[in-house]
Amino acid sequence: MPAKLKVPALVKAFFAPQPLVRLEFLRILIPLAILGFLSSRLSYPGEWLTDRGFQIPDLGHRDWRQPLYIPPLPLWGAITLCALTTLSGLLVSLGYRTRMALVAFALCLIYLALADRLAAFTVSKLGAVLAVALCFTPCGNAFGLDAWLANDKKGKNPSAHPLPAVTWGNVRFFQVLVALLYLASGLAKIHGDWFQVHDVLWTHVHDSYQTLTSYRVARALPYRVWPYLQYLVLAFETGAPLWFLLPWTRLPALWVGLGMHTFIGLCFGPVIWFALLMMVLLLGCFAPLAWLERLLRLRLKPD
Amino acid sequence: MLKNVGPRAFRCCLIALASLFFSVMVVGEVRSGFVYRWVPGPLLYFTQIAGLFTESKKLDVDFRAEGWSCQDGLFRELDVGPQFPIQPGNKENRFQRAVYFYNGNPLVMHALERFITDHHNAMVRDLEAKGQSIDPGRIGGVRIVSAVTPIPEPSEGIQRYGRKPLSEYPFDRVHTLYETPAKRIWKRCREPL
Repeated sequence: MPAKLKVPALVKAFFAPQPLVRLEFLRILIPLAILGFLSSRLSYPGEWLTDRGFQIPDLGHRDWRQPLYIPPLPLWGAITLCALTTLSGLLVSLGYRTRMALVAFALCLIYLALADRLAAFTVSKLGAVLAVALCFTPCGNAFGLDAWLANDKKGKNPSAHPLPAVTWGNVRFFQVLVALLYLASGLAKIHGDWFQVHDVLWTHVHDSYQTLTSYRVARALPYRVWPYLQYLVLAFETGAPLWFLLPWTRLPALWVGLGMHTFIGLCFGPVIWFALLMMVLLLGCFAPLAWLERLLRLRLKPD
Repeated sequence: MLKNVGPRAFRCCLIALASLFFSVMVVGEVRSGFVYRWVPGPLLYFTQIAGLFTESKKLDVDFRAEGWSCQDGLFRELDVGPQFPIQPGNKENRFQRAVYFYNGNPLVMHALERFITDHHNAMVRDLEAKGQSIDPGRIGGVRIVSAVTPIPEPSEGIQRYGRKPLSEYPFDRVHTLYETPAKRIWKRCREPL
């Protein structure tokens, strides 16, 4: 039986200092998921960002499809921008000159998301928001080249020192973002037809997003299972703020979220990068600390 | 405890901004008209991240381009892959996205038609210079169509997705969305390549 829910204790815990390891986990993996998503575009800078490819003309008025008109770049500009995005993203992940790299990465992502509405998806927009948010955190103080070089200079053994903490807002922003993102997604689904049609998920595995896995899953899974999956997704998403707030529902919710994104990643072709980004966010925000520490210590083993 | 980025007042502003961002993100999914009116477009854009797979699919719609072959005097299906090489073969391709978003917008459809025609004819010219050819050859304009496949009933099971040529679609499942005006087609076909 779970312990009795105490609201003041929850509030106190919300504003308590948070472990740096969560931020570092996000800092290492978020740029990799974003660069993975962008990779198919970054390899065609000319077709993507210059008038060698098709560009939407200036519509000349406010239009939801063109939030801001940005004219095409010259080819050298597009190549430079793509190289800068890749380089800054990799430097953020490696934790080298982290602050400067984060600012450059965030600016590149904002530009890329706004410059081309045809290539802007959830990852482009969410990625820019995440990069901007990371700019305002003290990430890069552990598990990166900056931290390694600083420790080396001082002759410090990082394994002998516990990781410092950060103030609540640095980590809570990402946690609240994930929970509210799911809530908004659940509300959008209710606003759509998820309560009227019981096989929404089934209807989405027939188009060009279909993979061999989704084809096999759809063949193997009895049809009556699809509505249950649909309502599980809906319950998970609309209840996400509650599931992740309460200590005893957090771990089951994490597993459901990871399972849902594994399914999305395997079954909806190019959506795999969105699924990976969300899995990184889920793990970084809500995984037990022991998991994250184990994962990161394995990655950069101290001497 | 690690030092925060910026002084306390700055952090308070960040909290206010984050709260505003969260509010617009959630409210925007249920009352989009309200936030569209009050939030500047470029900022609103970054909050529109939650509306994925919100509706069931009734039809699978694939957009295609046909070129008016000056030689044969009829529309023939074009491979727009060379002009739109990013994410080929799925609906994240820029041609698919352009028609999906701007179908019905004459300014954009006209620009798209000109882009496809010019690039296809440039390719024909380059190949002819090398003594090669492409099918169809020179084109005078394009017709952009939607090819529609109904989502099968659960009892019908699932088919492995594969891209079919336009000619394999039944006549009533192909709908014209844009066609280059005839006058412009004749003019282009008469011009030297």
